[in-house]
Amino acid sequence: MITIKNLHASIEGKAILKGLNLTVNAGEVHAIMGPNGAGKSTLASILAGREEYEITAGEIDFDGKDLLDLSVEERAREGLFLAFQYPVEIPGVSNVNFLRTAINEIREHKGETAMSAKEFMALVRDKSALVELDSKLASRSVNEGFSGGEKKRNEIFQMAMLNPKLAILDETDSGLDIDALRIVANGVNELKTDQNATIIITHYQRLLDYIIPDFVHVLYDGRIVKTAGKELALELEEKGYDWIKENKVN
Amino acid sequence: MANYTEDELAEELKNQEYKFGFVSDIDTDTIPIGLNEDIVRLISSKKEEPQWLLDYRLNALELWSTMNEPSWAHVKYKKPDFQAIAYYSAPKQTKKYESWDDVDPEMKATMTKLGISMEEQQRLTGVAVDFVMDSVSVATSFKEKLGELGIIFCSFSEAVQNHPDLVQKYMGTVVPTQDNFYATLNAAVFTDGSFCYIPKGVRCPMELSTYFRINAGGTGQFERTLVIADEGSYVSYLEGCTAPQRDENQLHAAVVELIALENAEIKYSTVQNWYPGDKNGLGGIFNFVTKRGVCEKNAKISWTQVETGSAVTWKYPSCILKGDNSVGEFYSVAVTNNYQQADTGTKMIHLGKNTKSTIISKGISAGKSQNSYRGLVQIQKNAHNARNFSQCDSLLMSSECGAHTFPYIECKNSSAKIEHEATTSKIGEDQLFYCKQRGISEEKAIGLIVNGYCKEVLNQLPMEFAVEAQKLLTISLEGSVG
Amino acid sequence: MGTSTKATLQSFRSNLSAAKLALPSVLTAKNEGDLSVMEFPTSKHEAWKYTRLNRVAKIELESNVASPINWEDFNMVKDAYTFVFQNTTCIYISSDLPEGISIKIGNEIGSADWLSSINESHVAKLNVAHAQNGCVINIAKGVQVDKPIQIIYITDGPKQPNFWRNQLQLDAGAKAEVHIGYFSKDAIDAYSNVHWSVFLKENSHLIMTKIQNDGEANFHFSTENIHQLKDSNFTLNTMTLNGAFVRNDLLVKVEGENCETHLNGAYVMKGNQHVDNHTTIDHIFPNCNSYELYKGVMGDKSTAVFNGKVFVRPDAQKINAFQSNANVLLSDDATINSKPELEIYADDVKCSHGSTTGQLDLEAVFYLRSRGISEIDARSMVVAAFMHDVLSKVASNDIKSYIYQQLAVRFNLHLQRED
Repeated sequence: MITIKNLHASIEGKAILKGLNLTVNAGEVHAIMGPNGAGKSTLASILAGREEYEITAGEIDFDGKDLLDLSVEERAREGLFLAFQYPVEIPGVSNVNFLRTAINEIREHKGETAMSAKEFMALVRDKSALVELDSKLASRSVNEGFSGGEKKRNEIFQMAMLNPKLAILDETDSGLDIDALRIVANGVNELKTDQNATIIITHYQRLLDYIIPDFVHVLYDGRIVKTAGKELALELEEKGYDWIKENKVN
Repeated sequence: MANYTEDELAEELKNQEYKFGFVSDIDTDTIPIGLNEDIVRLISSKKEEPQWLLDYRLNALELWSTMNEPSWAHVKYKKPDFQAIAYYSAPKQTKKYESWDDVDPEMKATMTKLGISMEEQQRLTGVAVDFVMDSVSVATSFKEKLGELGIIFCSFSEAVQNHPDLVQKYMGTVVPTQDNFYATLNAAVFTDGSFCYIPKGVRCPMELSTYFRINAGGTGQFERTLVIADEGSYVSYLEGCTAPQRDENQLHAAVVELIALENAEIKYSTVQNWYPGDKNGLGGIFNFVTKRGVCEKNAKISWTQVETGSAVTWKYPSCILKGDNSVGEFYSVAVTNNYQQADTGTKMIHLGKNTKSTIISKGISAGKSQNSYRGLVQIQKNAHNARNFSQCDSLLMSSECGAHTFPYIECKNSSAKIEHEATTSKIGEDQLFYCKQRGISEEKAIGLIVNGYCKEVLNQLPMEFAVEAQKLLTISLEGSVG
Repeated sequence: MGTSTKATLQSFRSNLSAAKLALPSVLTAKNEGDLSVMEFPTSKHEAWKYTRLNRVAKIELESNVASPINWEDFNMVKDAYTFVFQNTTCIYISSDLPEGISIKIGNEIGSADWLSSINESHVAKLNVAHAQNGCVINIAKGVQVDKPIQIIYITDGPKQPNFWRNQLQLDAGAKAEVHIGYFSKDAIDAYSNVHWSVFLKENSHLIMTKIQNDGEANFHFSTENIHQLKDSNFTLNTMTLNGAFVRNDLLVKVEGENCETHLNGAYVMKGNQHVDNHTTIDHIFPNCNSYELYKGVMGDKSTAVFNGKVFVRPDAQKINAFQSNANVLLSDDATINSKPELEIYADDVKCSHGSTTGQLDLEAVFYLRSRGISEIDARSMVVAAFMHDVLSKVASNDIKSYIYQQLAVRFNLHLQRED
């Protein structure tokens, strides 16, 4: 699905990623954990195509395509989805209009015809139920006046609507209460198939109680310093990140 | 319904090909250029006007000759040569239209190109349309049906002939002859326009609509619109404007007067898409328009405008809130691109007690254009408990454009409450990125965001007119998904 | 006496003495020629739309011979480096000036001491033509002045004309606090015209507070031309407490990156007072912030004008400019004309302005009365609450106390101190 090799990236001359390697295959769930400032959100931003980061070395293969060669919207149309840590408000633009535009642009990219309004509305009903999103929210302006939890659920709703190959969840658990966390996780689990993959970026272990990862990676100082199975998350929760840092120094 | 996307706006904002830039091949009767007493007399005689109207015009001409063109607006342009304009141009027509079928096929084609095929409009929407090409009104539909309710909707010339008492009583009462340079010019040389009277207690069952079209070269358009809503009546009035693509600047100096008597309500909507000139600022319409309404007790006037056209716009649809409890509203979207310049806004004059006004203005500047909001909120001494809320936002789309806000707030009554807010900012980078991450192209993302930004104003347009606005801005999905 | 407007500016000037300060030719060269064809502006001039000068134009000014006074009667600050002008004479100079501050007064100032700072208004041109006295202050590089500098101007005697011209320069990294007070004594129909050119070099920091407390029958015109270079931080508090007619023209040119500009203004008015605040912040360079807050309370037949303009020049990207004007009318004979303006020629900016006008919060007055507070006290408390945020921008406790004391005397306004 995605192969990241020796990725180096910096912002305003400051190196953030320093040779990151990661391979994610279809059907897998990967969790990337790490202390603040390790470069977790930078990785998400770079994969989505934020322009303020400078890629100084490395390559990313996304399903046979050079990801770094693609524009932000081409990546999205190829099936890369980022659930934002801070979803953006767009006043006056309704969620449905926003999503219908997105879906039809993606379909057009794939050479498919536009989705009919009826089909689309049926899909909205179906998918909003998945994340227990009030259907009224679907007709409200994108994220405007949404609570923190609603914004995060809206991200998963959009993910369900757009049905991406690779979903990157950037700190989706931050600011969620336990019920919202369960709903969000449930949505992600429901959407999981052997054709798609998920990267969960998180600081805490708790989301991983609900979404069981196949691999847990520890990102520290711009590199993945440890990779193991789901049990690593529990170990991190118990011991914190300091022992990783110490190990690394040694 | 058609698959309406945001393409049009993106086009509009990038490299717009003006869609209405065609010239219709219609024989016109155009009088010699220049402005003097003889020309005014000629216009008046061509229109077979009564003496009082000729006197009115001649008085205006005399006043105008002593006036100077205003220079306070934030616009720069080469002053028109008023002696180089032909003040009257009419599609050549030997007899008046008896019915829609009599209308010149070429003219019908023109209307179709404008997207306002009358048959279709009549059949589908029941909008009554008055069509003003160059200087004269060429067709008015639905007259009979309206007639049954006592509603008069006709060209201004017809009103002068058939309802001189009403015209004489109200014309010039809201925009006096000497009001300003362009209004005075209009009073001297106006050629046609629309007239509308809604009798007491009548709620006009359909939208009344006028399309203005400048077709002939070297001409100016000086139309006059007079809408009178008698006590307790209601009317929604729509106005659309287009003009051919020409390298010269053409002058449009119109006057619109609205009179809302006690308990009456007038909703006046405009989609202004005069030719804006080309990418290099060549050509385009000078749109210098005076629009004003007066509200008697408990009356309401609501102006909604979507302005995308004209090389230079100078326009302030205003409300005089004369009667107690009267309400004035102004909702505006003004888009400027390339070298367009717009100086537009409103005046809300509060005279009566408990009068209320709302101003929502959205300016969008792109290219090298200059877009200014200029508004006045005036609370007079006796306007107890007057209320005003104004929100003026500007969106900047390029580093070479300008967005300016010049609100004047004058208050002489301590019980008034006035709130004015304005913001100016760039289109949100984070919003663009968010849209793009969902697979939406930059152009469409801009269209979406701009559309959302203007929503408060677009929502004010009557449904029938929203289609016109869609051509210029964009429409959102839920507006049409039932 | 001339009746036409054209004659009026000239006849007004016929009673005035020529400038006594030695000014550079860059200021004087065109000045007389310009003035000779100028008129008092009328309401047709946008900058004077709401301010009529007829009353000013009619005064036949005459210089008075002032008798000695005790300047300390006008003192605002306990411990400061103080300079006092009584009409055109400097009557007091602090003798304990520290290293790093240089002050020249009157004929000590050479024409070369004046930096170029041009202002095209008739007020500024009159000042050039008739400047009688003033000071030029330089704060040396990196000097942080340990005490505030206080400059007091007293207009003494009826129909007294006073033209003061001043300049303040902060060299790189300098830091200072300057308090300026305008007062009058035995004056009626007096006219004062004061000009300040202020230069802030790189990374300098200046707080200026202006107390305008002229007598209620006097006319006061104040022009400030501010030039900010990069990384500088400038605050000007304009506190208008009295005066029949006060006009403030404030032009801040932000001529470097990373500057901060704060303009605060308060006007509390009664009787027939007329106060007109015109401010312009001209953002010429990118990456700057400006904040403007003006608040006023107008009673009786008073009139206030606020015209605040924010300019963002082409290429001056990343500007944040916020402006707010709030007014309370206490009487139906009072008037406010507010005109906040934005003129933006760059796109990556965040600018906003707000203007509100309303009456006193009557709910709050009622609430206080229901707790046994008299109506007069309740109203003054609510006015005080309204003015509190702008008055709290004044950093100096001495000045704050002075303002509160003046408001208590003149308006029976008792403000709560929070510090």
